[in-house]
Amino acid sequence: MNIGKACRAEALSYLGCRGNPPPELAAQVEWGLGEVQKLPPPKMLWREFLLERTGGRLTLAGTTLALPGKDLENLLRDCKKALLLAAAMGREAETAIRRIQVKDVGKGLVLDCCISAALETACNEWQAQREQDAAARKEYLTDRFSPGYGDLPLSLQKEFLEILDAPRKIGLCATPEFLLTPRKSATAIVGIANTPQPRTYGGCRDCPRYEACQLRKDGITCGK
Amino acid sequence: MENKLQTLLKSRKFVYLDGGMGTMIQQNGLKLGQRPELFVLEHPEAVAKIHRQYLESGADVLYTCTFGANAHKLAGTGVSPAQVIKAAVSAAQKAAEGFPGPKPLIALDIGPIGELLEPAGTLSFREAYSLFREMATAGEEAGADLAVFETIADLGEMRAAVLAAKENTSLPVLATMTFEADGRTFTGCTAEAAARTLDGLGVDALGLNCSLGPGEILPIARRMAKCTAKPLAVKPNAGLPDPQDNCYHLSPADFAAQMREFAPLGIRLAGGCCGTTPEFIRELKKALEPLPCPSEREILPAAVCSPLKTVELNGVHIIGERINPTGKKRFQQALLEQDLDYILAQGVAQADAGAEILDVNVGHPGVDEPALMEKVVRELQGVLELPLQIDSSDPAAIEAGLRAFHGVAIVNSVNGEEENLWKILPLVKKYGAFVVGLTLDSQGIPQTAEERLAIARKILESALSYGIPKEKVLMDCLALTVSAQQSQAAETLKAVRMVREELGLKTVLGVSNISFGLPNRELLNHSFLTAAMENGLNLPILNPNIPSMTAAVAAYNVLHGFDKDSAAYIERFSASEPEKQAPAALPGHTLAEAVKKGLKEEARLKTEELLREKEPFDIIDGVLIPALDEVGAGFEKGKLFLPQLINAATASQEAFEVIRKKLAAEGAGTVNKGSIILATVKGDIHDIGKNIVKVLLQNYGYRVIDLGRDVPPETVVETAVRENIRLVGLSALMTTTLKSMAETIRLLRESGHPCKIMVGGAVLTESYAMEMGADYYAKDAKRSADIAKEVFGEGEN
Repeated sequence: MNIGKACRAEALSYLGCRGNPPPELAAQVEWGLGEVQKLPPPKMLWREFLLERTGGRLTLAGTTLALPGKDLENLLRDCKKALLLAAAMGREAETAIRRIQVKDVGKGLVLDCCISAALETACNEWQAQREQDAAARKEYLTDRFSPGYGDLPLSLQKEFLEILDAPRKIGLCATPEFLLTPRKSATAIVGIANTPQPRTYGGCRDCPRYEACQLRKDGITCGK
Repeated sequence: MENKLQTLLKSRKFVYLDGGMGTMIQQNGLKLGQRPELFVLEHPEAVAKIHRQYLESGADVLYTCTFGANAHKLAGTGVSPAQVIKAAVSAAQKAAEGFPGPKPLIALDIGPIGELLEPAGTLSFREAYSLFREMATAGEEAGADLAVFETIADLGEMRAAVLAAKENTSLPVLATMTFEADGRTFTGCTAEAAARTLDGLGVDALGLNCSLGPGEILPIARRMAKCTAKPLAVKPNAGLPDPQDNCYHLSPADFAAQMREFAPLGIRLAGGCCGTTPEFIRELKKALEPLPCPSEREILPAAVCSPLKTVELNGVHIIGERINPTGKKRFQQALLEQDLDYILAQGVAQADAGAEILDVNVGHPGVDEPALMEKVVRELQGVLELPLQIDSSDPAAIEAGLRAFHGVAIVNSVNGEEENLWKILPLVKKYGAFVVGLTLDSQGIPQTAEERLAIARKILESALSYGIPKEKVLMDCLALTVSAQQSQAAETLKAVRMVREELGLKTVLGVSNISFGLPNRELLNHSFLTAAMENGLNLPILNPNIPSMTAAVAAYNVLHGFDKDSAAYIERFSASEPEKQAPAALPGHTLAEAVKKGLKEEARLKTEELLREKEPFDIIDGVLIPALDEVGAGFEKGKLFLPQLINAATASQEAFEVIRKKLAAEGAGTVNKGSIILATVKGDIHDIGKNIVKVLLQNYGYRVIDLGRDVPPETVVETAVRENIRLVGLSALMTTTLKSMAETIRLLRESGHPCKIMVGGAVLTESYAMEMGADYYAKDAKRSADIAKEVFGEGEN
């Protein structure tokens, strides 16, 4: 995968550093991103669905999934279709973090943040590719939106995964508390519209909720 | 006695399994996200019809529609596994009623639970076991003829399933796993490890299903076929799914043509998985039936393995000896305090140093050995991929270790005493492990090689009588301390040679014993190791952190042609890597500066230096804590970032480790300004925050009892009461796990145990923490150290 400037900045921002990092921190992040490149690339699983609106309910056609809440309704207002995405760094990432933590918690934290940044970068790359595909069809994508953000319940994780057959296809599951496992994983929905969609996404670094954000620490982004 | 599956296998050249059930139900209108297991309750006749079609297409075995009928997946549906299983078995039986051909076997079909096992997830091995047991017993009761576990990617989960069926039912077991194109599952399990482990557990047949199409699966099946003599089963998908419509596009005829390639491997059971229909099975049978099935296939010798790594026992392989409390005060202290990180660090260091197998011994007075063995084995597997040697004299601890280890382990050890043999060998057989026999008995260690050989022979015969294959029996001819019994070194070497030549067994030897009590132990150990290898030693148990020992093994493997083209040797010794040397003269940093700059090695050396002139506690209070305080203040002001604070803490940790070792060696107790429990609450597995807090608190001189992650509230309360703890720290990262935090606080308060509670985690706020009844909100690691100071007071010992 392409570990570029944005990924580096993302990792640093997860470590609480915006702007120029002190040299030892920059060196640690370089080490962490080097480790990330030794890992298998993230597994990306996605599928396109038609959206159905019946009796005020928004559902994915051919599935049992109902998409509740105002936030998603707003996001998908102009959309007839949507992409469902599951992305997972896999068990190697999980083991790498755990193993390094035994020796050095500091390096563990750095690697944890670098892997989160890599996942975020991979999701951005995926979205950019889908946007290209869509553009060829004169279609436009919305931002990504994940369970747990806004009024979209985290409890949708299980159904998201089930519909994508993610446990079988990429080994991604959820715990009874709806935590994705292996941890460095994300799910999201992206709307497909016939008109250009407002983009609010500027990455976590610009977000006012940066310090408190639970999703960020989970390696998930809200897409806003 | 022969079971139904064995009888069927005997009566057929190839046994035909059915094809996809989900595929067929979806054709009947099942929506994505809808449970097929509920479909069988609502439409038993439709399912029976599918079974009948498979029967008519030539299937000998029908898989019931119960793939996800476990209590976790059915939660909230109002339906129990037993209800689904009864209906599903009955649907299959109905399909067979009045069928003119031979009666099919009805296989209770069981897929993965759908959650990851610890440590990646929160599902425990025990929980998985009981979910599988519930299904297996219900299946037997409903009249299933065998249990099939399929599409499982985690060898640990598969082991739970197989043990649940074998320990609670008399159903024959067919176990098939799902792989990626590289021959590994999502959890990293290799085809070889799956085959060896499941073979060892005594399943009736094993193999692979789902995964990919027949063409992609073939090389993986070939690898499995070389590692087991059990009947092999293959049930691939109808090719690869189309990324656009998610459908499978291999035609029945193409599928069947590809399946022909499996016949020469000696597979005995064949069917189809996702995307296959009765037409596929019909074509498959047509294609396979005329082909010969080789009666024998070439099988590789037995090997030790973890799910991720197989160690074939050719050449010499190092068993790391460091996870063992014998003679190590610091390790004993870690065992008593259940300081798992210390033990895991020993494992990681040995793996980094070149150990290929790790010996695990956690026996010590005052320790619940079986419980600790289970815990250590489980945790080691979470960070390392090495196979383990379970080292204990307690059968309960041995079984705990074998049950927890998800591969083919070595049991260390049995000896020539009858009682010892009959207590331990059945466990070795049950879990498919290797066993080390010590050539001693109730009379002690014989003085001559011939007598040791006689005991070795007895142990071998006994193992064979329990059905343990000869190649899984290893012998330890016992290295005795040369300073006490000088003539015995030669006798041991002779015994090693005799065991190899006369019994044809591989040998193990704890090498480091030889030099006890003499100066320059390394030289003696090294010389003895070299001599022992020349006499046929295969598995030296030694300290891999001593480079000359691992180097001797590397050289031996080159000289005897085991290291092909000297590749491993060249990689290790090529000139590019400069020899590591301890810095002779230290740069001009003081200990405080070394800590502040996060220089671990320097902090260690400086502490060793300082300890010659200062008391341990003066160093802690006078140097380490002020240095950390300074870094902490910088962090609070935003001048330093979290990694810098942690780096300082880990450097300080190095200093502390030197002090702890000194105190332990002098029997002077431990550094403890107060004991603090830390736990990531039930349901939560994000523990990095907790681990950061732990390192910091430890470096302020507190004893941290780290209960780990996903910790049940009861465990926190029990530990707090038992250890009379005054400060409990809880962390939770997700909104969904905050309720566990609140529950833990509630139970702690209810217990009446007087303690302060601090909480932390990304989603918490001060006001929410207070609302839950916590005493303190720790917004970051630094704050937790301040809270500890408030609770325990400054400098209190």
